[in-house]
Amino acid sequence: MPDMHAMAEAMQHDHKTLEQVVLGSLVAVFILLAVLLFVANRNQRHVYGTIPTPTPISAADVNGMLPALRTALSEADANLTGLDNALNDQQGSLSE
Amino acid sequence: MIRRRFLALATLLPLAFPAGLLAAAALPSPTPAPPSVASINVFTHLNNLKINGAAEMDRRRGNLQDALDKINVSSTLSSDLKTKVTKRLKTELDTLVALETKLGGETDLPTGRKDVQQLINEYPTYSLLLVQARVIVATDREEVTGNQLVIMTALMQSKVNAATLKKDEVGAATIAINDLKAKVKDYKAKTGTIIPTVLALSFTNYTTAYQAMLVDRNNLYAARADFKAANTDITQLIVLVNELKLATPSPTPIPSVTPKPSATPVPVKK
Repeated sequence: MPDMHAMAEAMQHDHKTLEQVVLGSLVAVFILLAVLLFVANRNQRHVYGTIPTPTPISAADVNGMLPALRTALSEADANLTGLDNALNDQQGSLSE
Repeated sequence: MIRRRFLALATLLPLAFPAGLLAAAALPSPTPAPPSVASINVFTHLNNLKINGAAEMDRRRGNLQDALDKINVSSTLSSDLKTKVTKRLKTELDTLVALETKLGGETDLPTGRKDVQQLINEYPTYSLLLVQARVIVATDREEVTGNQLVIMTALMQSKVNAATLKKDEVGAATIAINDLKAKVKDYKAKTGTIIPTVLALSFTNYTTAYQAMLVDRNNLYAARADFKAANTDITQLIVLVNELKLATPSPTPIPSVTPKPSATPVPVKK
């Protein structure tokens, strides 16, 4: 006659082992998922140069700098015209 | 008898002449005799020289003064350089003022002609000084523009780094940023040596000096083309990064109105 007590102990032992295996597998899957997510996120940053929060060009940036650039450009243009005028300067009439 | 009277008159005439002069001096002066044709010509010629000479000197002084004013308000030139250039311009201005005063006071046509010849001889110096000052001013103003571009490039780079862009936008933004940086580098290469070179230029040979400054002028125009391309890059970058419109805020859009059904056309009376 089988030792009922021994059988019960063996079954309990098997049950514990199964629990450990399932738990271990779940932990392994979570770790794997975490690693995959980290790598994917890092690759995405590398490709797109992204930072989670975009920082748009503010109106102050644009309003302050672009007009200054354009004013400087138009003044540079005016002075290039002044240079051309100087290069094309002709002496006035000095006749009697 | 007649001969005796003639001799008496001939003897008294030299004595009477000074007395007549004294009497004439005491009386109101008569209308002067019309000047001869030759003296009219001399006066007209000298006057024309004075008028034309003064106009030319005013013109030159105006041009030099404009250039001097622009040198004085430049923001990128060192004070030493400003002093050096303004000293040259002021010396030429003083020369012109002295010559104008001298010519204005001349009463003699040959001397007036000499003054005008001196003015003509002074032209190459004036012309080269003017071009030199204008090259320096134009370089200064391009430097101001370039400095603005450097600031904008740094801003654009930081915005591209920080922004969330789609894959195709990243490519376009990278191209625009790289082009912008290349234009800034190119403008610096084109204009970086202009001022020291133009300052060291000798005016001994007019044509050589003029040609050298013509090269500077072409480099300044090439830098201007860089600025234009850079401006296009910046415009594109702003759109890519933020889809932000560059112009002033657009006016409130006109609400679309559902078109009314067209009315039945009124028959034209014949």
